[in-house]
Amino acid sequence: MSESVQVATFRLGSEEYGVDISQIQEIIRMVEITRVPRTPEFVEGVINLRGQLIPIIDLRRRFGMDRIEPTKSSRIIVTDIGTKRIGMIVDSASEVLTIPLESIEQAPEIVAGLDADYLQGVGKMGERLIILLDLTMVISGAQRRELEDAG
Amino acid sequence: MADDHFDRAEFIAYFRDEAEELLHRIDADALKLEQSAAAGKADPETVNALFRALHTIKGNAAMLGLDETARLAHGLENLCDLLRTERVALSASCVELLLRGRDLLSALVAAEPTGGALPASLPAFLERLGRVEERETSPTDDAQALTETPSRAVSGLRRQTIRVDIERLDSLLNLVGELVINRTRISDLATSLSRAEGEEPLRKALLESAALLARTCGEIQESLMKVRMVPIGRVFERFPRVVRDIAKARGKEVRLEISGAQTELDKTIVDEIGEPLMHLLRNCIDHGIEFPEVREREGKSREGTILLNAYHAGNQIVIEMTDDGGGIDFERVRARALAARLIAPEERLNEQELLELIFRPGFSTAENVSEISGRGVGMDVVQKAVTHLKGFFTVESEWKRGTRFQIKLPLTLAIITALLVRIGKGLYAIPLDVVLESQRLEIADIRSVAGNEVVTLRGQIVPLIRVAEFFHTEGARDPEKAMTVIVSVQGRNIGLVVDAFEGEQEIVIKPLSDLVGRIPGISGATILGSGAISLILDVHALVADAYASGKAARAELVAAEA
Repeated sequence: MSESVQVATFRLGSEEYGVDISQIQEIIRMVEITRVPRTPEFVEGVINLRGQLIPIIDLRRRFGMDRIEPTKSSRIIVTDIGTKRIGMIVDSASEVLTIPLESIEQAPEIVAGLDADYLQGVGKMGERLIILLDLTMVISGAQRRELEDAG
Repeated sequence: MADDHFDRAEFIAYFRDEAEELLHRIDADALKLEQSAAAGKADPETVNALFRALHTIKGNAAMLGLDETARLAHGLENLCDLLRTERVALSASCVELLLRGRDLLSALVAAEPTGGALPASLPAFLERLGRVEERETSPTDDAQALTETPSRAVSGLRRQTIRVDIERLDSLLNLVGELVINRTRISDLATSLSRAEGEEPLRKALLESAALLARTCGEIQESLMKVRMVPIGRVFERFPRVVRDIAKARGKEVRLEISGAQTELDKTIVDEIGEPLMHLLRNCIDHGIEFPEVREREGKSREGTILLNAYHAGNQIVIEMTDDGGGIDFERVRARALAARLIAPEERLNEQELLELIFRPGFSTAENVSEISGRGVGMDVVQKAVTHLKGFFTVESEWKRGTRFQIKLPLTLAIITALLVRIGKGLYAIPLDVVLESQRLEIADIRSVAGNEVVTLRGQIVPLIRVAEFFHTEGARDPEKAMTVIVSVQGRNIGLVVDAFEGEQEIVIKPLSDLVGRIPGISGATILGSGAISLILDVHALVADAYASGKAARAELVAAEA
């Protein structure tokens, strides 16, 4: 049996993304988000997840896409990165896919709107292209930008 | 037990914990002996207590194979036995020996379990202990009897305690927090269901059950908070020894009086307040209490007194350290502040403002700190620690009469009472202990001073902060209906302009994720009974900010006049 990765897929606009399921804690429906002043733009606020405060980032904003009003299919993907728990707003969550490693290609050097450092590769499943994300880099990139804003 | 693995590290942690406690007690008892040393006769109860403490350390150390620790404890235990049976007379040198032995023991407890370097003076000390023993002739066969009787006597008094990892307690507290939130939700559901039609008995049952749940929840929460409370005496107990040692080293005579040691507060705070208090104490002896000759010349007793007092006031604990020393020399404070460029030569400050200068970082960095009769060594460190614990630190002083430091701390950092206010769409919590009053804001009352909005409150000028503007968020739609909350931090008042008051509530403080970053003006967040999130205003920061900008404005005003 050849090696593969299991990813949870979700949509942002017309693009499909995948995240290693081991990084995902749970996927929840949109809830009311409390805005926190003086935070970077892509930090949407915090939510109350069973008594725990979880910061929420808008992945669209993080990737430089236009912000949209949440719809019925909007979801928050709750992930654990190291000891930090964080939620990310996505347009919709799709399914869990098993992608054979051989179907994953290195990311092309230029992908519109994405810094290459949190891009792990692109999985090809028939006609579908799934952009595989390294969430650790999404967050550390977020913190970096926050620092730049502050400085 | 499922885990049959002998976890030595865990045992050692327990051993150290217990030994540390016992060592504090040994300190206290040895000092008691010192006081009666002049009479040459030891109080048997005190000696017995010393004996038991040393005996326990010896036993535990031997069990863990800490041979040197056990040997030293044994030697000291013998010394106590000689004292008790009056084969050795109690003397100052005897107490000195006990105290030195106790310090060595403390070093061994720290070093031996982890294979650290043992104190070099240990062999010589053990030998000296042995010489005390040799001097007497009769065998110590009644040592056994001594350990038996008192330990039985004491077991009746002994409180039943168990050591619990604070993290486990914290996670329990978190769970209770969730329970409390859910309780409110169930109560709400029961209430709304009770307005529905039909199913009368079912609705009644649900309501009753919700009420019961509410009560149980409250009780669990309260007892859990109590579990975290420990007497402040835990911090105080090491101070008599410290005072004795520092006073001796400085050639001063100092008596430390402690009261209110039973006053309880949250464990986290107890853990963090020890160092700052120690700092303060050292400062009192170094700079507050005069040399005995000076005191005599001033018509005071040779021995200076430091009074350490703790008591509850509302939901705060007040810790006071009062000395009858020389007081603070305002002229010298001023001179040093000038030298350190903390103030400008033309700046006129009243006594309170001068006193506050000693809390400023940089005040103590001037050369020859120890020669300055004023205070200020590391006061900024104390100030910082107290602020970190959401407390207040104040000082008052009378020249040649003494100085009083006062620290006010919240009883617990986890739960506070807060005033909830609405600003735009957001709900914010203001800790109630800083709120002076709240009132409707009359637009006509707002004045402008050098570009800053102020109101006059009973003759005092109070700067206003429009919280919405401070946070760059959407604020009041109708400024005519704005409200102000007057808050006060260390005697400085500001008015926070908000949209509406939403009542008072007990809130459980939760930290904001560090991914959100440190936000100026916000100290944390809380989840309300409705499940909604409310951010907690960092009033300390808001006041500091207002006064910083106010000062700038004042400077401009002065410049314009000149």
